[in-house]
Amino acid sequence: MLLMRFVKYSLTDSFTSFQNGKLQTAFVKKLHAGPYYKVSKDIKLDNLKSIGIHRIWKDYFVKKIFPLHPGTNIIDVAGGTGDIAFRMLEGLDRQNKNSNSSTDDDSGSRKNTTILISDINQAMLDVGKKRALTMNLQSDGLSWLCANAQELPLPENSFDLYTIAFGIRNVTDVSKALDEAYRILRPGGRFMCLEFSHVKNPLLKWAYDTYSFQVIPPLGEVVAGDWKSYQYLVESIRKFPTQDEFKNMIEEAGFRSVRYENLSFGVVSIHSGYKI
Amino acid sequence: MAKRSCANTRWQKEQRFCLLTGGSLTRGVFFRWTPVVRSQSTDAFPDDSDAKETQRLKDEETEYENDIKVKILDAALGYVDISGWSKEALAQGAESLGYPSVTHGLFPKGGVELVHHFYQRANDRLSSELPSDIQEAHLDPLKAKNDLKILRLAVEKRLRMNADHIFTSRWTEALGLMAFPPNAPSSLKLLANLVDEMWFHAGDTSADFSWYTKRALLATVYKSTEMSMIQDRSDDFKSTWEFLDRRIDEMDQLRDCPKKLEEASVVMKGFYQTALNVIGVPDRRKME
Repeated sequence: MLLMRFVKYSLTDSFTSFQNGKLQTAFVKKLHAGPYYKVSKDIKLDNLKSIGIHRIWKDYFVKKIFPLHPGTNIIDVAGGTGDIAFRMLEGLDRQNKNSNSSTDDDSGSRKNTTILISDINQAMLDVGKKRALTMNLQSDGLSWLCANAQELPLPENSFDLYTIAFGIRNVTDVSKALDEAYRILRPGGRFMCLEFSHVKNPLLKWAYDTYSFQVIPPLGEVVAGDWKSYQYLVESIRKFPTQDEFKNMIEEAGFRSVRYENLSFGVVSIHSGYKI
Repeated sequence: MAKRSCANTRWQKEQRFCLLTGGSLTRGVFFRWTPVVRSQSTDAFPDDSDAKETQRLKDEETEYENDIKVKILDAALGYVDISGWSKEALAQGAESLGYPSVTHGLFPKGGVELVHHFYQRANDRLSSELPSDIQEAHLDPLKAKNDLKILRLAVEKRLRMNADHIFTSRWTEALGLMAFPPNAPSSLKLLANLVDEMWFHAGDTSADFSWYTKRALLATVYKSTEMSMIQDRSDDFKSTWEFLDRRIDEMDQLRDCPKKLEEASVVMKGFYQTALNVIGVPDRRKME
């Protein structure tokens, strides 16, 4: 109880400074410890916020990765609850079933593909581990790591695919995270990012803004008892750079062939770049 | 655009340069212009007011990316008979070069990019080899009557390049992919370039509407012959070449059409005048 009160106080305090346009680093650190812990308990709220479309976005995002060959090393950053990683495992199962006639070994090519799920929040990782058990997925290639995306304790040139879904928005220094991504990827490796982005169409923008500011925070209050952190969520989406600006940031980190694809008219966007 | 201005950027990028060349991929050409250019300039980043320089650097970047894409496409062509014209073939091609299989994402449209690449390569081969073949056959493009013979040679030569994929039954897949609505415009463009090349080598210098009709005609001949070829079971596609001969003869006959129409119109005019005289309509010109 005391912890929650402390968290609420710290939120209100730093919230005004955020509203003034300055994003306090300390606030974000507290955020990762505090409300996201609460948010992680209420994943069903994601369904309400995005009317269930977030599932379709994630499915589409993962579909773009395939075909995946054995021996691919994947890192899913800020993927604590395992949404993307589990979809990847399911996709690999499907892929192996389809090509079973060509492979000789019965365990399939899934054995050699490794997925490392990393998140700054240990609570999210715990939720993910629990889900992995309940989903009955063969998770021998799965590993978990609690780390900051800006300073990953991993060797360079060690991964083929770096994915981050709805996580890069919460990183304090996005350029640092992109540099880390570049460092740990192997030459030829791919960076993929799924993130909320900007809607260009004025009419849709108005509808989206109204929904974001008038519907989502009250929903957060009703379901999770937390108006302020959902307001923060919605405002951080607005603060995030536009599709082209983010594309330039990715290019600055050294990635090539950077392109983005808008989903749902720009509500969400997939950015992809290669270390070639 | 806010560029990262610290000197760290330049240093970091040079470090990456070493990583890239010293890494596991020694087969590819991994030069980067960044170290050379940045050491020459006194600024930490290129001066934005020098638009030409930035454009040149951007073009070099695009060229570098395209080189890698072309390498992967060429390597992927070798896997088409196993995996078809698909992302799978692209992934296998990328792996054969030492890239991770995820690099197939460089080709978002998937298999059709491989088809277009193959088509373009075959067109380029035709352009380079056709002049010498024409000389060998002792046909002079400057003489008007040789143009159909040259076209016959060119169409056969170009269609034979698809023969390997016809044997493995993969060409029908390629045709299907090219006909798919999102891909149809690019496929048509390739076909248009192909027939233009063929007419150019046949010595076409027309500057009127016949430029369009000639190419449209050749495109239909080419496509119909291609359709005949994918169903052909004869030895060395003999019945396809006979089909082609018949189509070329039709083209020849069509050429005489305007002359015949003119002759026909003189006869028609005569009939019309006779009919009027019979009815009794006075000829106004004679009256004045």
